[in-house]
Amino acid sequence: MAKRLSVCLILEGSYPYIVGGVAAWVQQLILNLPELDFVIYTISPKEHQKIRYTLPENVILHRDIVINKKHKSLRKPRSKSKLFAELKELHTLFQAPSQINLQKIIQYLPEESYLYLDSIKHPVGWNMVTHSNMQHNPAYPFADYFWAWKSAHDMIFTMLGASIPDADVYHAVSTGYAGLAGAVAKVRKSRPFMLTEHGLYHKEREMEIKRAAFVQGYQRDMWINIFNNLSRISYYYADLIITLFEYNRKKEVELGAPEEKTMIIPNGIDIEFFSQVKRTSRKGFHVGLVGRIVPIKDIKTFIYVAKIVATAIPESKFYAIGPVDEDPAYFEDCKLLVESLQLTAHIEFVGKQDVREYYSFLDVVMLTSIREAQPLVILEAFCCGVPVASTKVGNVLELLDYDERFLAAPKDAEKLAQAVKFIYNNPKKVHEFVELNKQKVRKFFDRKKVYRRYGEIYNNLKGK
Amino acid sequence: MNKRELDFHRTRHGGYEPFTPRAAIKAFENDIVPIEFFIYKGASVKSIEEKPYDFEAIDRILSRKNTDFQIKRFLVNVFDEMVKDQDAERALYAAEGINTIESRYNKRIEKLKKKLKKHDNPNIKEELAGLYFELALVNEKQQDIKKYFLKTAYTYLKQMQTGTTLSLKNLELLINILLEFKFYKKALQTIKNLDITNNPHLLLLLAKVEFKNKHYAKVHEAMRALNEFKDSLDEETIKFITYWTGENGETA
Repeated sequence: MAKRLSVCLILEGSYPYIVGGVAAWVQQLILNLPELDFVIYTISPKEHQKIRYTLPENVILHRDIVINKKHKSLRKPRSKSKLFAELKELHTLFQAPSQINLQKIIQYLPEESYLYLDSIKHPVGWNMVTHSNMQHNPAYPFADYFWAWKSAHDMIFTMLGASIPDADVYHAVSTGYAGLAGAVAKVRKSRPFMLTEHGLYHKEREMEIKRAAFVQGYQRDMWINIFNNLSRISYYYADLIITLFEYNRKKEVELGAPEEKTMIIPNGIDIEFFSQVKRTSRKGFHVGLVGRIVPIKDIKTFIYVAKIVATAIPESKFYAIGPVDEDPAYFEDCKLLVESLQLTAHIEFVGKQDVREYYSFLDVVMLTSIREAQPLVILEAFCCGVPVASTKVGNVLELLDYDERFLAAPKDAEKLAQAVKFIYNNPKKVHEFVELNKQKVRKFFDRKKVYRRYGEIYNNLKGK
Repeated sequence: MNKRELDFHRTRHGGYEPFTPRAAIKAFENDIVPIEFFIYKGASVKSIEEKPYDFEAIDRILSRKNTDFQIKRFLVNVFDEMVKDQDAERALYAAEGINTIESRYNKRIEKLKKKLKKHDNPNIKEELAGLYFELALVNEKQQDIKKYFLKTAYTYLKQMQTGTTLSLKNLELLINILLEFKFYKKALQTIKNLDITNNPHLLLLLAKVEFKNKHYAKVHEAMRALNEFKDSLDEETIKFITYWTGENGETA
């Protein structure tokens, strides 16, 4: 019997501990490729997290590495002087990614050897820290810089030294530490490494760092540089870089991803499942938001839109369809807002539901998110024949053909309300638009085709 | 000053470069950079609302833990405009900025509400009322939500008022809420029910309310009464009185 191809999925802060988004995509990928074996290599912030998915039968191993933990070195690095010379060299090469050389570092650093203490005990390592302090923070206490540097670099040392499970192909589902692990796996195991980015890891982290009050001054620049450099390493070592849409692909190229390695494979939905939805007309005018009740989905803007629309269209009804337990305080706030705006007769938080039931009668699906990659909910709505009004985030502009009638800037409740009213007042025009999009989704966003494509890519890469 | 000193930015190679005037002066004091860095940084300061936006400056302000309310309000105004930018990244940046400010308020409010559930403490209610009032002004452009936050702030204040009189700080907040609601007459009534004659703070508040009611003669009257307390007032208030009454305390 021929040996089954094994794929190691490298995941950071996602499957199987977090529900939705990328995690849901990973679960479907595994389920839709039963002919392959999957090894799950997860990078976690803490131990003993609750597993939120039933691991499919073709998952043959799950290994978790806690990134914040100081792991015990079971082996010693070889030739520390040469190793540190290489590490020093690596820092100068990030601006010219074509010269990044992880091979030599890995050559001197066997699996299960961690540089936490060596990094500051070795003269070259110590000089790097002190020199860097003089460069970025000379007027402030060295201790602050030292601990910031240490915590930032120890996580990298964890990933460089960690033991990686065996597989035929390594597939990281983000850059960052997962991408670094993929690059290390490629060098250590001499196996192909591919990368799929749903969002842009370094951009998302940059946004978080800039907003975080606890990361100050030069530390912000340090973290942003580290995340950019981790993405550069991932792009340089990946044999294939997949993203969901063109805008993100261009951004990857801007940061140094070789254009010839990049490829777009969009998200897909279960066309058969959603095609079964039979549209029915229900009395009134029904607007739905499908998503978790969390700040990034900006449910409050959804409520403001409801207020504006309900004033103009009294028979309108709004449904927030999605789990409410992820951020109970935010959910509570949203409920209070609904009460205060006297919208209790117009808005309902229905919790997690079979969305098909709602797609059967909704007149509009609305998306008020502040950040998205390629929202599945728009694909689902289109597949079922429901028009969409949305904020201009991620791939939404392309999905809605840049049609300003249905688009608004994030947080712009007035413009979103206009879009909803346009749909209410122009059913014929909207119908044409919906039909076109239905065909588009059914043709280009079929999940089966997407995962089949991944299966082909794994097989092609294995031979390389 | 010789040519080389003037040319220091062009002729220096690498090394530490402070981001802010404060960091520059500290580095100069520690003999790390020449004073020109401070002069350069000090002279390059521009308002954050000036275009093209200085994202680094905005980031620095936004990442500070203890920005006061006026700065937050100012940032939200900048973000409100930026959110409509054609450039998707800038719009996203602005939306996330607004969300950051709102979520900081929300986190603080949630903490206080939890505390309040355990102990019915008027100090917590006072802080909650203040936070909701600030949130209302941060959401100035969204009238419905502004009203919601004002109403919540008002509710907390009213709860505190039961059986007791409001402190001066809370009374001022109450008046400000009523003014934001445009309940000018009610604000006037509230303040007139109090003994204001010997209280410069209340007189100042009265002047503000009378101004909103467009009773300009009454504003002058309040200012003249306020002039009696000139010696005990701060510079800002004195400037305010002078604006209305002239240098000698006589109305124009």
